[in-house]
Amino acid sequence: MTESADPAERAMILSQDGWGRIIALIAAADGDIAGAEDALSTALERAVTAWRAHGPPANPEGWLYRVALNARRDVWRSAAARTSTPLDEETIDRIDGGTDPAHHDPDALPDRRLELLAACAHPDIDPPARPLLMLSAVMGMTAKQIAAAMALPVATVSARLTRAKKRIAGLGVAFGSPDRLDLESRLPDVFETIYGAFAIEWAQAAAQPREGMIGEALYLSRLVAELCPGDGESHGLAALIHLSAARFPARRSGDGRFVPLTDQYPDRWDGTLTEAGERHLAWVHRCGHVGRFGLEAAIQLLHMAGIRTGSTDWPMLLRLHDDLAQVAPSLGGSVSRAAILAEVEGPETGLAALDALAADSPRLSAFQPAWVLRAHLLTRLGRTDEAATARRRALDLTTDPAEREYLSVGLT
Amino acid sequence: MRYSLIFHAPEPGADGPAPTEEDFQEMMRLMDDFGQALTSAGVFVAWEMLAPHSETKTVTRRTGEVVIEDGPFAAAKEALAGIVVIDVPDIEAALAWAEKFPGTSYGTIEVRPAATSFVDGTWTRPGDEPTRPGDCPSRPDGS
Repeated sequence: MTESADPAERAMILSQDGWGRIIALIAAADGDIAGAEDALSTALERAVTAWRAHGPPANPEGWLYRVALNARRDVWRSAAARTSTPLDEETIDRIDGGTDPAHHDPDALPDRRLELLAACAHPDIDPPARPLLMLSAVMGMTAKQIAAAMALPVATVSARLTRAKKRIAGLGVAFGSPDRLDLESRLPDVFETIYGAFAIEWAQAAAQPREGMIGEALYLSRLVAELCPGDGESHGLAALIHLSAARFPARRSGDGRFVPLTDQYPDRWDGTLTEAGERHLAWVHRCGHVGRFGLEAAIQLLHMAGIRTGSTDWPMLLRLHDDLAQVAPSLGGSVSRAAILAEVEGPETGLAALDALAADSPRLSAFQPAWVLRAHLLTRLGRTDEAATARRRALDLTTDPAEREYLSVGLT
Repeated sequence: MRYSLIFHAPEPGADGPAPTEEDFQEMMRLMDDFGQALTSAGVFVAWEMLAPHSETKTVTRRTGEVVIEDGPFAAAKEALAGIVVIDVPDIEAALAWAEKFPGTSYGTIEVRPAATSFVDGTWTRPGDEPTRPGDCPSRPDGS
């Protein structure tokens, strides 16, 4: 993107950070996210003309907030006039109270974004709609932008957003003055939604890997860590997303080939993101609570350190995997643990762990990573024919062209 | 083993906002990615996306004579919209591909094994197909 020379346009771009804050603050009063977004759109439209004509204001966010609030008030007033609901005047007072229009410093405005995030991850909202809602409400993205990032049809995104926003408004999920305890109990859903948006497996088998929503997920994870700094898992999530994103450029070679983690060049990892991930992980320890995301981030960092230094602390990785299996058992986690076990105690033990898993979970026979690992362990044991069969099975279950090419090397 | 991925989706003009030209382009791009991936994986057999019901004719001789009609104009909201035929070892592999079908964001995919297929002028049953060299009939885990 080129730097804009137009001061009005520059001010508009700089004000984007404040959009989520403005929507959160206005929607907090009555839970009507769509209404708050409309109000912000009105303010933005007016800003285009007003800022061009008179120059941008000293405090663009404050200006936008004031105009958006006025637009929203007009709607409330006319609704009150139609239905003579006394509540609406109360609503207006609630968010008007205490803010002096003379200095609308957005940092001085109450920050309701955590409440807004919690509303987006409300149990009554369909899980697939939750990340869409966050991107729309907290980041001000349009349905078109979200559709492009998530590789979904625009019509689908619009329909899901409309339904979800109606749902929130209909529930009367006013999130202006939530119980602090209630908010804390909702945090896991917030974390899960942000992680889901990041880790989404692309619905299509694209020839090229898509950046998808990595930038957005990074932003949301930083935001949530900033909004609840004392929560270990908020930093764990931020650490995990930053460390994973750091390796993104190294997943494909220059000519588009798939590169597994162990073969990646550490100098192709993004140093800034790695450092940010390490910083958040240090915060996890300072908070004294290590949960699922903190453990997964620690596992990733140990792997990365091992590749960088040429010596991996496998026993420590095994301990972390054992802890993870306690906190958040998963098929992927169990297969990774079998891989670590093979490094610590030898390939036979890893294979035995994999067999034990297969006996417990019928889903394992359709789980591609389990077949990749089986092929790898059989190769190490010199059982070449069985290894080739396992690799073929992994290949049958792989749809990504680059990964297929990687797996098919050496197979006849 | 051949599997048909049978795609049902709302007919154009059914309820919901009509997709824009841009939506069409985006979906075409996703569908193209899917087709390229099927081809590069060597599992592709055929793929037809079908014109709407309004351009359909039905032919029957159930009454003894040939009757050709417009339609069918079923009242169902969703209609057959396309068929992708792939050749993969089993249902698990077929499902792995079906999951990636871009159209599932607005329709549904039915995955059905072929009972018998007419290939190169002759009927082929799944068991008749040549297995790949080195293919082991049983899996290492015995399942």
